[in-house]
Amino acid sequence: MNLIGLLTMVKRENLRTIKIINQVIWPPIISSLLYIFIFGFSLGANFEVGDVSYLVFLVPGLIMMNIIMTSYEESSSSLFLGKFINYIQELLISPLSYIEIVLGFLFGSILRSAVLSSLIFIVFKIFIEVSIYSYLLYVFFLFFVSLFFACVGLIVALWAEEFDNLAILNTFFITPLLFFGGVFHSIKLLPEIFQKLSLMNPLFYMIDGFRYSILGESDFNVIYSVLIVFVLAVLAFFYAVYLFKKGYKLKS
Amino acid sequence: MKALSINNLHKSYKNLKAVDGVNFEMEEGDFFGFLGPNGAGKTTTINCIVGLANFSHGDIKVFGKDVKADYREARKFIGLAPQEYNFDPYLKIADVLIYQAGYYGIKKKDAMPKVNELLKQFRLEAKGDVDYRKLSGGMKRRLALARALVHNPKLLILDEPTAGVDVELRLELHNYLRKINKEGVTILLTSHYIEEVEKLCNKVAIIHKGKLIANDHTSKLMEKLDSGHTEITIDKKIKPKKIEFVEFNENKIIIWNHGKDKLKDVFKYIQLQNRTIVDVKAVKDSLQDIFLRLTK
Repeated sequence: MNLIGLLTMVKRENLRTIKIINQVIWPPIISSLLYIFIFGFSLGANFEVGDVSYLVFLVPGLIMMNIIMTSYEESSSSLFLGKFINYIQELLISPLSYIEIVLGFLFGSILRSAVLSSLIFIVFKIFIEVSIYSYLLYVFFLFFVSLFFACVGLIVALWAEEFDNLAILNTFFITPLLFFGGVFHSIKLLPEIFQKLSLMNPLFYMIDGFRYSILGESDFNVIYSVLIVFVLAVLAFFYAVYLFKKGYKLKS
Repeated sequence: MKALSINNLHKSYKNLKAVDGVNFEMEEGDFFGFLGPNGAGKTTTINCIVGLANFSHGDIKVFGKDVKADYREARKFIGLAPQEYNFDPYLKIADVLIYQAGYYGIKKKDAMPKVNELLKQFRLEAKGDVDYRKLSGGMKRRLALARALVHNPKLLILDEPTAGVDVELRLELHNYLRKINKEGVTILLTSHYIEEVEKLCNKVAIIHKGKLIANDHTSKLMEKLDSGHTEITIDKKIKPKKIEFVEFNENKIIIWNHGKDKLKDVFKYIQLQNRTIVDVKAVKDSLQDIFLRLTK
């Protein structure tokens, strides 16, 4: 295994995050705070979901929303830019295996998500009394949801021909599924038909499982959420590796 | 051991055969010129060697390692300076080299002596902390070469390394390439400057429409394909006459070496036309003449 090569890739991804920190770290923190102030402190001040206040209920959903967005955007934009400017060739001709190249991008994404989610959690802690119920599940969902969306980002970046293509998945799939997946609401508050439809949304299990790791409460059995997230992440990882190995839209 | 062996390489893009059954070998220590007109298949062949193109048939070995089955080992031997600049936009000049070494499994502290040596060699020391976009064309060319060398490759592949470079820098690069070749680095060079290949390379291959049409020692190839000519200058314009391998051009007559036996006929004709010979000289073909003739 080319461990130094892999670490160099991760270092390079982190350097990229630092260089564009005003685009990728501060804005999600500010927007999360705005959500908390507007939906939590004003609209949801006297409203409870289950045993917790709406303000506390929002915390896991908002953090998960940023984990999903960040991991997708980091890997997709990094790889697409690499294809666009051709510096991906530096990696493709190096003695890094295809798995190592994929892991390099993924670890970069997961690290960025981890840093961002931690920062958001710390900022929330200043205003809201909230703590983590299960650190193990917190880390599990953070890692595997990031892994899944980072893989999706790589797959979309491989397929994309233009920068605009990267936004398609984000705009038409991720954002609607996030909002319907329970970032701002418990599906128990929905009519039965919409509750059933929500169960078909994979992002619901990510948000609901992560909410359990912080609040100890969830709409659905967390074991199923763990299994679904794990299976999705593993499938996406192998598909991304397969495409890299094949050289899909990377090699002529 | 062969530094590079390419056996029956085929590569197609939809209906276009970009490389069609190419075979050649490079010995360790060779300085190998790889020539061909635009679109002949040079860069495609290089891309197949380094892993930037998938190929359908054939096999390629670098120092005995198959570039498909044993791609990681094969790639350790190769350094590539591509035709187009493809530097990472987030890295400073020194970092371009440090990160490149990292991808090849070399720790920063172990890479630094080589990085500093290359920055000095290519007069980029003062630019170590600069963004590559601020470099001139010549500096970018030197950086591409430095990047290709930072992990001490045994096979250096240079795709048009002196394109857009001024004469002074070109000569400087030639000297450096000669030096590292003498030190043991095997070099595969493609260039549009055929005199560059003629001057530097001990072996030459010419590819045309995806097929290898010549492959030999530079001197042997020039000897074998020599169609040098004898140029006769006469005092006045002469009416052209149809003689095989002979060309009439105003007051000059060119007799190609293949038509040496026609000299007697030409002299006879000059005499018949009452012309006086002013000058006779033998002209040897350059590699460029041979290249143009083969790829016509």
